[in-house]
Amino acid sequence: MKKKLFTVISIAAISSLIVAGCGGKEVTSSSNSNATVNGGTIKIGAVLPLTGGSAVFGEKFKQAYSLALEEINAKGGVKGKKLEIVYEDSQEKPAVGKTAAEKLVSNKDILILIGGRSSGVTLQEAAVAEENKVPYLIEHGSSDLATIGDKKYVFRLNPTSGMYTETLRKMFKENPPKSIAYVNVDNAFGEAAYQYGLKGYFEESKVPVTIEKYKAGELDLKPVMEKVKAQNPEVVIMTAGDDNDATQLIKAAKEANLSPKYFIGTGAGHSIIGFAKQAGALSNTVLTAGPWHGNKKDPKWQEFNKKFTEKFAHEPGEHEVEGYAAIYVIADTLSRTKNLDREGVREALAQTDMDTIFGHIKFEKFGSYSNQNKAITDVSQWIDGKLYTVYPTQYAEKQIVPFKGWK
Amino acid sequence: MLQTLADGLLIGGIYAVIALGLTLIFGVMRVINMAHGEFVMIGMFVSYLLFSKLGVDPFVSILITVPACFVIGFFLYRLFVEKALRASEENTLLLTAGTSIFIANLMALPAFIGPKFLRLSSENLYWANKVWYVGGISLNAAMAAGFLVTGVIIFVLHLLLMKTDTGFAIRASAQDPTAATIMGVNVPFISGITFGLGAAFAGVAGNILSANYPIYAAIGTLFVVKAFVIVVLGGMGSIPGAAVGGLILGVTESFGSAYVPHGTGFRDVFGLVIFLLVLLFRPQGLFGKGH
Repeated sequence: MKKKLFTVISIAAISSLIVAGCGGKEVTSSSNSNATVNGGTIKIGAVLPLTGGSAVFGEKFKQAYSLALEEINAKGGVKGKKLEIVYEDSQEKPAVGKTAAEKLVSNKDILILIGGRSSGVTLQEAAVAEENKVPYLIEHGSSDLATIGDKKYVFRLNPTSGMYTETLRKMFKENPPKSIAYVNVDNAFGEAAYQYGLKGYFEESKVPVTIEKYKAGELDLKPVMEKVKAQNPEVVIMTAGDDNDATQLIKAAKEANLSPKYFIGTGAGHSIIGFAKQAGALSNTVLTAGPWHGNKKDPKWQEFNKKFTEKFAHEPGEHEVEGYAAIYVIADTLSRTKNLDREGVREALAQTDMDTIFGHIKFEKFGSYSNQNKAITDVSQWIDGKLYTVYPTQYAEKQIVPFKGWK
Repeated sequence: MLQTLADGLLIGGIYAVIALGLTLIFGVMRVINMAHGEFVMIGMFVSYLLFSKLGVDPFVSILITVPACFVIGFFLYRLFVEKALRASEENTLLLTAGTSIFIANLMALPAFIGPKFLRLSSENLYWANKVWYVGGISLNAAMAAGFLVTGVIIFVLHLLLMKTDTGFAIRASAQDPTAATIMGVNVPFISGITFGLGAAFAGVAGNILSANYPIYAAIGTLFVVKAFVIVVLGGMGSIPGAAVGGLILGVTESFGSAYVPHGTGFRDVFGLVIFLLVLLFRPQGLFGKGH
């Protein structure tokens, strides 16, 4: 009896891991039932987290895409055809995302892929796109690996994780900190943020650096911050893939009474409004180095902001700006495509040279990257629940304020 | 050192109360409740609703969570699990695993949690980012209060099991269901009560956690794996085993993170190493009775 029970409990443990691994959520929001060659539409395939803990991010992109599609289709679409998006759910898990991407590329009507969201899923979607010769426009997934090397079909309009800290590194070169502690998340995003971004700076700057890692979604981050506190660093840099981790980190910092001169996030979790909402007053004066959120003074940006806020009852942030811009890049590409097939779309996408609300988009080969847009990054700071650009100075909306310590 | 120990005990207390529910159910019915983590999530959600709509403190709303989870657990057992029990143990396992997926997805619908993260908003919440200092050691206030609540709950459970007729019937059903039936114990009813109690424990943990952690539909899986580790560590079905096992896991994780170089990235590993050691040298668990 006992032995059998042990077998059962081992099965239970294993299957719980499987459940944890696949989440068991198999919902696709759009069917391929009308996949018969339809002269009236051009199909775009999107892999997004639609269920599970990260569904909130998938929703942001769906909203942004749908707004852009609505506008484009209302003006008659592209070449007289309407644009349509076919969604597949990744649950934010790389393995599920791979299957989702494979399902999309097997639909021959789909001419281009977008989405991905997390670095892990984006890398899988990129591999599937490259292998099946389907153009893929990345608008958010930031692992550098996706556009490093000789990529033919993968294009990216957003900066890579490594590039996120470009402006921050410039700022540090002007005003070198005395010591740094770096708290990094243990996933594809954290790896890229370090490997292609901060690592080079740490090595050449000779600033004393200590590095601690944590697991994404970890409940108790206090030991991490206790360790950091023992080093008494002047600057604490934190990488968090989502706003939950970003919030748990700053809560743990408060509990450990860690008081550096600056807390700095590296985009992602630290750059979205969810961080300010969840962390509340604790988010005050936290800096974040990441993609520029577009020129807020640009009338086109303001119009988008107004329309989006009216329609979805919340202000657009990084995700929404990127998703909206991506659909416009695709529409522009399709309008320039001579032969409406995957190869034709790829050729036209490579020639992209246009202005969007996310800045200028042009896919270039530089350093070890290919088909990568030289997207603008900035350093911004959370002040009373709002994010203001503080560096570089020509875009700065406010002056940097140092952290004042916990009350 | 003391700080690390305190941090480990606080998180360990939560682990313990979750594992306690799981081990109670296992002890009586030999059912492994894969949906146990979902009850933690339900507790968090009830706490969120009561706080955001009525401003009820998460520790006060324990009074609502306990009956809510108890009723859901009781009927889950009487309507479904009991029927699957007639077949093999694997069937109940699959049933509860299915229930886990069902509840998590149900809660992901916009009518409930929806596909987003909830948090108890911080302005009116006493516990928000509150830190208590005791002799130079910083304690997360909600977790420290939760630890005390956990202690009280374990004591109450002990009294219930040892001093009341229901407790006696629960223990009898656990020891020998057939003999208990012969002695006039309504074993299916008692099993339902036990299942409900187990679910209520998970709910209480949810309440305590809601003061500090994000609330989302899929968070249950985070706890269920830890609870399994503890239940096996402490001895399956053993209540002191679950309590001590929870504390051991919490403290091990905490010390591992703090003292092993770069240990913070391998937090789960330390608990699993202890788990493997126990399986190797004391396969019946720390408090298990063996053959």
